[in-house]
Formats: sequence, C-alpha cells, structure tokens
Amino acid sequence: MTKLGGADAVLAFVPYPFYVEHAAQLHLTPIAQADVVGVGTKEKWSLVAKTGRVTGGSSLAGYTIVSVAGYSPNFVLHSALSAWQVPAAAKVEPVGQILSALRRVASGDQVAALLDQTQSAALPTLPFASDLKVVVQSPDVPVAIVAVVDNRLPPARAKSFQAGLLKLGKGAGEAEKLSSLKLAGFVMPALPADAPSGAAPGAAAGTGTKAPSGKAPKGGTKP
Amino acid sequence: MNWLSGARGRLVADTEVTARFGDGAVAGWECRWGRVGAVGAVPVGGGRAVDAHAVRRSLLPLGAVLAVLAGCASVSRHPAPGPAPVSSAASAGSVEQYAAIIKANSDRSDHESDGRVRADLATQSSAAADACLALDAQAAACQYGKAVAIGMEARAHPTKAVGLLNSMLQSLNSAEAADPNYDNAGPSRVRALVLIRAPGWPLGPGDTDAGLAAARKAVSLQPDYPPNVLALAEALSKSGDAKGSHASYQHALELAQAAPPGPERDGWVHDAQDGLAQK
Repeated sequence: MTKLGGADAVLAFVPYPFYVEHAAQLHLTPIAQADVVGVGTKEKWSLVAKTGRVTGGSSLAGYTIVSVAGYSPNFVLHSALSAWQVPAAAKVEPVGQILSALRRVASGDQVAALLDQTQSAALPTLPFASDLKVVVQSPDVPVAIVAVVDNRLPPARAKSFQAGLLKLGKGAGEAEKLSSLKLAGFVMPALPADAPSGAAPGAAAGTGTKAPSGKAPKGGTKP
Repeated sequence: MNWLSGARGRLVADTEVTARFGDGAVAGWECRWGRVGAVGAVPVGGGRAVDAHAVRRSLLPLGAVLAVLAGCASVSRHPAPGPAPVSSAASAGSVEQYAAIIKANSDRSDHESDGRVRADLATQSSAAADACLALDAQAAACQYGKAVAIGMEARAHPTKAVGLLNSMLQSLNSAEAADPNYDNAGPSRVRALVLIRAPGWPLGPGDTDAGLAAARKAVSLQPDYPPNVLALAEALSKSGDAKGSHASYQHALELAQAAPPGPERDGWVHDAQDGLAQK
C-alpha cells in the first residue's frame, strides 16, 4: 500500500480482492485482467464450513470468516458472499495458514473459511475433507488485475501498454515467457457490475467492461 | 556433524506488487535461501515477516509458487567456506565419505551465486546420495544425505521444487526412522524447516502445525543444540506465538553464546539476534 501510494508507482498488478478494497483509495484504473494458468481469467470463491453447521447467511452470526483475502472485508462480504446477507456479528479475518484454519473448521470451531478456486478444488485431498462442506460460492470474479495507479500513466501510453499486455502469451514461444509467473496471458478487464471504480478524475476510461450483476455497488470498509 | 544446522537465512522472499513494466518485470520477487534449501517463509515489505499480509497471501493463490522460487539467489549473511572440496562421487567409497561429499557440496552451494554451479553441485550430491544408498539403504547418513541432495536440487530447479520437497520429506522420514538423533536430531529439525518454509496447502507441502510438531520433537531429542531451538522459534513465530518465539530465540541465543567459538557459533548467534530483532 505504501509503495502503491508513492508517486513513482504507476502500474499495479494486484489480486482482485485487493482491487475491491483499495481501488477507490488508490485510484486504480483497470487495463487488463490476468489469465492464470490452471485457473483462468475468472474464478469462484467458496465458503467452507463444518458439515451441517451453516445453512445460510444468518447462521454465520458469531462466526469468524477466515480467508487469504480476509484483508478485504468488502470483497469477502459484498463480492464473494454477495448471495448471502451476512450478519454484522460475523467477523472477517485474514489468515496465512489456511490449512490450520481448515483444521479449526473441521474440528467444530465457529469458523468458516473462504477459499479461492485452487484451494477449493484441492479440498478432497484433505484427510478431513468429509467434515467440510462448501456452503456457498461467489459469482465469477477476476483473479488479478493490472491497473494504472492514480492516473499516473498518460492515456496514450496506457493504451499502448495495454495492447502490449494483451499480446503477451500469444503466438509461438510466447507462453514460455510467462510460465515462470504461472500466467497464460492477459485479457481486457471485465469486472463484475458491483466492482468499485477507482479511476481518478481525468483517467482514461473505457478500458474495460463491467459484466451485468444483480448486486448494487457497495462502499466503505467494515471494521 | 553440524551440517544442515538449519535456521539460517530465514528471510526468504520479498514480494512487491508495484509492477515495473518498463523494465520488463511484471512483479518482483526476491529470495534468499536458508541452508535447508527449502522455500517459504515470506516476509513482505522491508524484509519483515508479516504473516497475514494482504498482498502476499493473495498472490500465493495465483499459483505464485514458481514466482516465489524463480530467481532465488543465494545471498549469505555468513562467511563463505574455503575452497571447494573435491566432490566427485566416484572418488568416495564409504557411507561416511559420501555423506562428507554431500555436506561439503551443500555448504558450498549455500554460498554459490552461480545457478549452474549450484545445479552441478546438486547433481553431484544426488549421485553421491544414490551411491551411498546403494551401499546401505538403511543408513541414516545416506537417507539424510539424500534429503539434502534433493533440497539442493529443488533450489537448482525451482520449477520442480514442490514435487522435490515432497521427496525430501520422505527421505527425512526414512532418516528419522533409522536414527532420529542423527546430526543432532537433524531429520526432525530439517523436516520442521521444510514444513514451515515451504508453500502451504494446496500449492506445496508446507504445514505450520506439522512443522511446529517436528521442531518440538527436535528440541525434545537434542534440547541444547542451538539450531533446534532456532527452528522451534521460527515455527512458533510462523504459528503466531510471538511470546513463545521470543523466548525460544532468547534461549537459542544463550545456547549459542555458550558454544565454542567459530563460524557456526557466530551464525547461530546472528540468527538468534535476527529473530529477536524481528519481534
């Protein structure tokens, strides 16, 4: 955050939850969306709870929702769990040790874990998988975003750079260049309709699209 | 033997999200390896460990294992060893000799900045370990040496690292079954460091809970060996027990200061002080 707030930060390559949480503050203008090897350009997040314990948003009262994206309560509550009305009594916490967190979920603690697509796909590999259940999934959301920070890149250069990004990974031998980053390439940004807009005044608009969504934009950060 | 003493170089990776496309880099990852050659513990921002840091935690799900590993350079904070030892596996003939070759290669690899040289050392160590196992498949020295050789290979070939780390853990299991006290409880200690530093589920074998258990076992077997206590301190830190971690670093410092003078002692003291400074 400090680096991105600095005057020399021009472009940011950030996970979508980061974008949701900080786009407005940092005036992020998306210019591309990452195509991640093994995931794609979009992914679904899954809320996992102990089998039989959570049946809807209201049953999360008193629960702690842990996730690698827990630093972004806006993403967790309003993007990933947009299908549910999560009670205010539920807490959102970031977690680094997701395996430890899942053990807590399986053991019956009042904890639910929000997993990304890679994590949720690997759930069956856990020895205690039978104690866990995916109770709700997010809509498709971008995996990661490349964005101009605070309009610091002139529109013409942003367009040129965007065109270059979109060519990456395409053509013979191109995939090799990105393989060390587990990227297949970049596509035009197609953000959900409830994604925040962080474009600074005067920023080059129209660099992406917003997909229809039933959810209204939400603002502010829950404590 | 004091090889693979462990907790050195605990700052492993530094992740930035500010892309510098003009320089051709999408994002910057910088690694510094510990002696084990395991991947993992990822401080963010100024080299300070911030386990719950938002960006790092979210980048890992992007499949950034390779990114975390890629470009890792050996940056030692300790004096480089002397001239490279003769490391031809063919020149050895006993379990002890093969183990010595692997140890010497591992020490040299820790201080080697040339990736090709590290890859050669890893290949030689792997050959020595295989020859050792052919002599005595049950010897703890051979199984432990195999684990070390695999760790070197993982470092030399980052794209294969996750699979190799799993193999490394298997060899450590075998070494521990043969002699849990080998190299001052080395199998448990190294297992602990791999588990707490490697990428966690589902991307890699990293498992902080299991790593902490392994570190506790190493300390229970050899409580006065500073690297075991350093490994426990690191595991406690990773699991969020700051107070316990601090106490262990302090204990490790006292143990290290009581050790005979030498580069190893200096390294242990440095690591303990480094751990205490990060509290």
